[in-house]
Amino acid sequence: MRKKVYIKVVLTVLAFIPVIIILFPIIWALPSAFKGIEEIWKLPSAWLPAQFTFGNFSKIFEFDYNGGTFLKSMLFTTLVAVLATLLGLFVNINAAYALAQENFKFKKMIWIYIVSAMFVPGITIQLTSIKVVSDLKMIDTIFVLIIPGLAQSYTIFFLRQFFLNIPRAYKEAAEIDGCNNFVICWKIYVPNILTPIIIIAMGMFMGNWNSYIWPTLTIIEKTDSMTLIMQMMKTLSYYYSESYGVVIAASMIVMVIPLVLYSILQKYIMEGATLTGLK
Amino acid sequence: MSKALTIKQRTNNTKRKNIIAYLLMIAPAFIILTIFAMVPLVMAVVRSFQDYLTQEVTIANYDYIFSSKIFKNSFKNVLIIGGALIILQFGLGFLYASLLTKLSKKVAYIIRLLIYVPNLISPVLVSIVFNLLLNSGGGLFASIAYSLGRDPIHFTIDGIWPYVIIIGAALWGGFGYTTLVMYAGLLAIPKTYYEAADIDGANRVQKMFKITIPCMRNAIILSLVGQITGALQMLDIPLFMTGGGPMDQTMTPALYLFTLFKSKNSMNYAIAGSIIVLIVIVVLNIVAFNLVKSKRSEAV
Repeated sequence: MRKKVYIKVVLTVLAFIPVIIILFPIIWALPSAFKGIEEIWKLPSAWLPAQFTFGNFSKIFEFDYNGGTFLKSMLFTTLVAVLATLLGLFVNINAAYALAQENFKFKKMIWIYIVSAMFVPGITIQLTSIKVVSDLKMIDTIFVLIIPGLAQSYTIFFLRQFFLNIPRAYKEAAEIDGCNNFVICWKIYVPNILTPIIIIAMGMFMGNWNSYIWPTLTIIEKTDSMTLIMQMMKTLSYYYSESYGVVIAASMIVMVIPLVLYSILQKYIMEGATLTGLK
Repeated sequence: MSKALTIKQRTNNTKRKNIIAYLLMIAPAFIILTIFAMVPLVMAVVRSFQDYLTQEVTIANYDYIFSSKIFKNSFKNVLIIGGALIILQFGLGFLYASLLTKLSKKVAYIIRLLIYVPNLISPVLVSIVFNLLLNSGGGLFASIAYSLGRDPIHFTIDGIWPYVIIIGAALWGGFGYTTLVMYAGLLAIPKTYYEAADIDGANRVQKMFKITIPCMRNAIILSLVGQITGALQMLDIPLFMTGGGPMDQTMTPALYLFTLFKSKNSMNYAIAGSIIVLIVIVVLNIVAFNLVKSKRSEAV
């Protein structure tokens, strides 16, 4: 018995080693946000700053790139990410619900069409997508950041799997009560698969929060509607040599919101990894 | 008789109503996918066969891309980066997930929570944070080298280091997720299988190869394909870590095509290359799908 406890303790200690290695780069970087210019690239560098300064944080908010400020891009990116997530859920959940119902004319064709879009790599359609959005006059507007990515084949495929598992009796009962399909979808089906939906929502939010390459290609002149990561890159190229501490401080702020969301939704996300693993 | 008819009519009516509702619900996704994925795809196919200046039909774009050394080399990199990631993510993820199943549920939960954190961080930020470790002019490793009185390693240039940092950054971002999936897969294997094996006197290695791996076969195949297609499309990590350098050595197909996009003259070459990437991805997925499916029908 004693030996068993002993083994468990050793295993637990062993299991925490990778955790430390994984978190180390972040832990190492954290104090640099409080280092002054002269300390950042000093050889040999120390973990903690010899002199704590909050100057880096105030510099982030002072930096102005042709009207694009950190605060503005933060609010703008939040708006984009929230709208894209809500609209994305609406578009994909409706489609997944309809495709999970009984057969109807063209259903199979529509299904194959939607799923086949899943295999198209972003790089293949990147250039021609830019042509499409510029023909639609979407360049330099908020729409270009939200609309093209709303419908996601993978999400529709993933959610449909869960909708298929919901017993038909639920729907039949609701139909007798006079509910239409839209109501059945959102009032009965959606609450039944909340965990996968939260995972999808988190993924959509993160994707928009962290997106960089598509925005740099489509937000060209309107520098006051840059996404957060774009603003980060401008800050990076401006401050790189002067003070990397500013860049680190900005990175920390950019990471905060995903981490807060993650800690709130942790239970669902952990459950969700189980689901994606088994599907 | 007349009553029966009305019921039939009524069900026909609701049926029609249902179909209209379904089509309306699918419409937004259908339209968006058409405009922003399918139309650009068709345009890309057309342009890959067009001369950039004259718009004439030609296969010169494919000629160019097939003879491009960097493009060929980028596929070699897919094998190197994808292969290393498969071995490391799988090997380490599998071992680690097995270790986690031996711990108490609470401790395992905390660990799973912590190792998933890198997944939340954008590759841009990864490169910024890693720079503090790797920078040859004052990063942590340079500091250690300095204290030992040695020259610092230039991680983005020296020897195999550019590969190491790309693989390292990708592994760092993906390891937590792989472990989580493996852990879930391991827990889903019925305990009775192992108990039966114990009765038959099977050892650890036998149990691993006869029970664990076959049970996780589908999860393994799907993530293998995921890793390779991921490496084919890997863009931001090499872009921010090495920029594809030194001398274009660490280009991935996606990054190489991305750099070709920037010059107008080479755009159609890049599109032809991206069609090749598309074909490779589709073929890989068809193979994986058939492997997964054949095993399923066998099981049934």
